[in-house]
Amino acid sequence: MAVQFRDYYETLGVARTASQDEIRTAYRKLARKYHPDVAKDKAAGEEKFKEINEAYEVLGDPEKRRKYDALGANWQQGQEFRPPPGSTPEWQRRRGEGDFEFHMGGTGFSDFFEALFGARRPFRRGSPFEEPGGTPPGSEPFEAYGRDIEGDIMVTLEEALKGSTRQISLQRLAGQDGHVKTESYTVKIPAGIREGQRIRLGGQGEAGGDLFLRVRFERHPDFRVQQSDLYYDLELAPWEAVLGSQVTVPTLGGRAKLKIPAGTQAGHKFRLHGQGLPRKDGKRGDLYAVAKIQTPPKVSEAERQLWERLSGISTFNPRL
Amino acid sequence: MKKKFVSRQAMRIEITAERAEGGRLYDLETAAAVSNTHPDLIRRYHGVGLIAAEEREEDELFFDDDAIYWLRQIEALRREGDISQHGLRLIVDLLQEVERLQMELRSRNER
Repeated sequence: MAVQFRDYYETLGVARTASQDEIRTAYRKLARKYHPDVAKDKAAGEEKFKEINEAYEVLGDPEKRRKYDALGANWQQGQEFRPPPGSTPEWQRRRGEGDFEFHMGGTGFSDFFEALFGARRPFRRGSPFEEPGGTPPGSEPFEAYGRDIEGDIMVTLEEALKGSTRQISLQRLAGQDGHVKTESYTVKIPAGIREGQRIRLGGQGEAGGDLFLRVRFERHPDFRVQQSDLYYDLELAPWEAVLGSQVTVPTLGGRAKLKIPAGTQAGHKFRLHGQGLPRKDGKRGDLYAVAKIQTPPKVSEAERQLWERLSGISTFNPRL
Repeated sequence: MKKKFVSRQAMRIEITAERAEGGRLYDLETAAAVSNTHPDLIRRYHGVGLIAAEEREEDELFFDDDAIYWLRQIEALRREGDISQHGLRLIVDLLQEVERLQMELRSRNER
């Protein structure tokens, strides 16, 4: 099954030699620009945001990046791409029992991503555990209860907060004649779902096995997730931290005003109660705004003079 | 507790409860049916910490989709791989630890 090649480096506008830090910075800059909440053209922004997220999902993960890089540097964006047989989870075949291939759609990933990193079988015969003589005597053949399929589904933090309904498709390519069967499923993403949690579609795997969708949170340009808490890097100017100020911070689906007290230290966590993701007990986790103090990259002559004056009269030594 | 019945015959799924947040739960009998595992064995797996469950009422265990996934994995390993109880525990512990570390790594990459 051919798919269109995606040049993730081009999507993020970075060189193939870019460091992880450069990739992260490029992602954040683009993600903030195209986030559906801020993009001027919502529909186009959403599409672009998904592309950026997918590119970062691969390049931001050293293991996935290594696998992607192994394809070589000669591929062009949009070029027809056919994954080498046996090299990807999608192209799993059962020798001697007829070919069986599957491909998932609607998971929030492109066909190209799915072909490289998509659906897989969690455990199957043909593994190192298999007895050469077949099924050991006395045990039921595995076919009696099917084979499970596992794939990832990209879920936004907003979906994790409110829940949603998604349409996914599973394309099965069975037999030598290339007969393709596409099945669509409606998947309920329950509010409060956690990263790594699985959603089971009973009987929708292979030969009556189950289909499991493992939840991956779509990366958010502003928030990091830890359990049910969210973390936001609150960038402050030195004088805002020293003198105190009032700032506006983003929350999931809104904004909140935050009072920064005088003498705020870098790394201090301001807790916004109940602004995180849903917890098991039905309440919500918290949002932590973590103070990061930034210095101006360039200063005017007047500013420089003021900093020099401050340096002359201040008794503060951060290394003592 | 909400009781909802969905096609026992075709898919052998009976959703027996729903969490306030985060998805559906299966009672022991349903978990046994959908994972092809004897209820006593599931209790034993739960007892040794292989499978997580919610205890809602006295001795009544409820399992989520993740638990069903692991039960099916364990059953496949046990039947197909002829793995001992000790081996199963080691494999599942390792697989779960790998998943936990992958998530931790993913979260660290964000900082």
